[in-house]
Amino acid sequence: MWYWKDGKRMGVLNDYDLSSLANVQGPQGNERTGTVPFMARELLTEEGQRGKVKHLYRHDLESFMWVFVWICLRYKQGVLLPRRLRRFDEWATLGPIACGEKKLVFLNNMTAFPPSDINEDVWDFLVDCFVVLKRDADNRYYLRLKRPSSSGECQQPDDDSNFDAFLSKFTSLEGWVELSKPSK
Amino acid sequence: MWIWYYDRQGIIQCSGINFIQDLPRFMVLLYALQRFDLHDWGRNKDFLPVQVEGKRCHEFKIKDQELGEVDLLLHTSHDKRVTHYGLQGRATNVVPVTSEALTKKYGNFQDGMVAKIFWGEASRTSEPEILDKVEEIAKVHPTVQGHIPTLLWHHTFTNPTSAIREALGVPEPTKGSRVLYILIFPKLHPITELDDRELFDVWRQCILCTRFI
Repeated sequence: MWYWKDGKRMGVLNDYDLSSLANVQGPQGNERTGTVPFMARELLTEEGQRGKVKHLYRHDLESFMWVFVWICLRYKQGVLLPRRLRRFDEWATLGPIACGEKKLVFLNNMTAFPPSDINEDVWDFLVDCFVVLKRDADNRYYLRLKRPSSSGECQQPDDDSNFDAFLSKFTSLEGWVELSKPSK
Repeated sequence: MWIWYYDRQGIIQCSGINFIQDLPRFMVLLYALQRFDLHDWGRNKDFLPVQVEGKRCHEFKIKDQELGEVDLLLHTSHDKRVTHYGLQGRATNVVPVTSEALTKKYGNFQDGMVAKIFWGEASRTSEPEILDKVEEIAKVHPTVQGHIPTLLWHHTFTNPTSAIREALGVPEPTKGSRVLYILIFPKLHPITELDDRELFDVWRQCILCTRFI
C-alpha cells in the first residue's frame, strides 16, 4: 500500500494482524498464516505446511519477489488484465504443495514467460532476482545432499542471522541500482 | 431435532430432541425463538443501521477514555469496501469510515479513513499491540519511518466467542476463541495501481523496511 507525502509516494508495509513478535514465544493461534501465491517455496512443502520449517527472513524476501512478479504480470496501469492475458490464476486456487511446484516450474522456465508489454528493465531485474533465489535454494539443497566428508569439512549452518548479506544479493543487482535512480 | 449454533470459533451442537415424544420442550423452543430479536439471533446491536444519501451505513458510538465519545459512520455499502463472507476465519472487512471525533483530533485526511473490522484469534498478539512495537522500531530506524500504517484509533469488543462456551460448559472453551476488533487507519492506495518504476520504488521501500520489522 502507499500514500502521497510531500509529492512523493510512500510505500507502507501493512496488515499486521497475523504477524508475530520476534521475541515472543508460544502459541500464536492455529490459523494458516500466509497467502499461498506469495509464500516462499520452502514453506509450500509438506514439511513447511506441517510447521516444521522455521520462518526466516529470506522467506519474507522471497515473498516480496512473488508479489512483484504477480503484480507485473497480472495488472496493467492499475487494472487487472483479462483472464487470457494474465498469469498465475491457478496459483490462487491451488493447494500449497501444488502451488510450490508451479513456482519451481516458473523458475525453470522464465524464458517461456514472455513479458509482452512489461517494462524490459523491470523484467530483467525480476529474472535476476529469481536467479538469486534459485541459486540460493539449490546451494542449500546440494549441501544437504552431500554426505558429511571424512576431511572434517564443516557443514554450513542454515542460519538467518545475516540479514544484510542476503538482502544485498538483491540490492547489488544491476537492475536494483538502475531502477532506484530517479526516473528521467 | 438438533440445534446448531454457529460463530467464528465453530459450531456448538445440542443433543437431539424428539419433538413428537417431547412436544412441550419443542413448544418452549418455538416460543423462545419467536421472542428473539435481531440481537438474540446474533446481530451485533452496537452497530446501528442508518441511511446516508440513500445508502445503508452503520453507526457506532462509544465512550473513549481520551477522546470522550467517538462516533464512527461505517460506509458499509461503499463500492470500494473489502469484504470476506463465510462462516470460517477472521472475516476481515475494510470499509471507508467518517468520524467527527477523529476528524476533530487529526483533521481531514486526503484520502479519508478506513475501518478494519475482524474477528481475531484471542490467543494471538493483537494487531494494535504489534503496531505499537512497530512504531517503537520506526522511532530508531529512519528507513521504517513513514512506511508503517498509522493506527488512529482502535477498539476491542468485550464478548469473545469463548464466553458462550464457558457458560455452557463446552470442553476447551477458549481454544480458537475469537474477539471482534475495529481499527481505524488513514486510507492507503493499493500497490497494484502502480506500474514499472513507480511500482518498483514503492515495493523497494517496503522491502527495505522489513529488514527491521
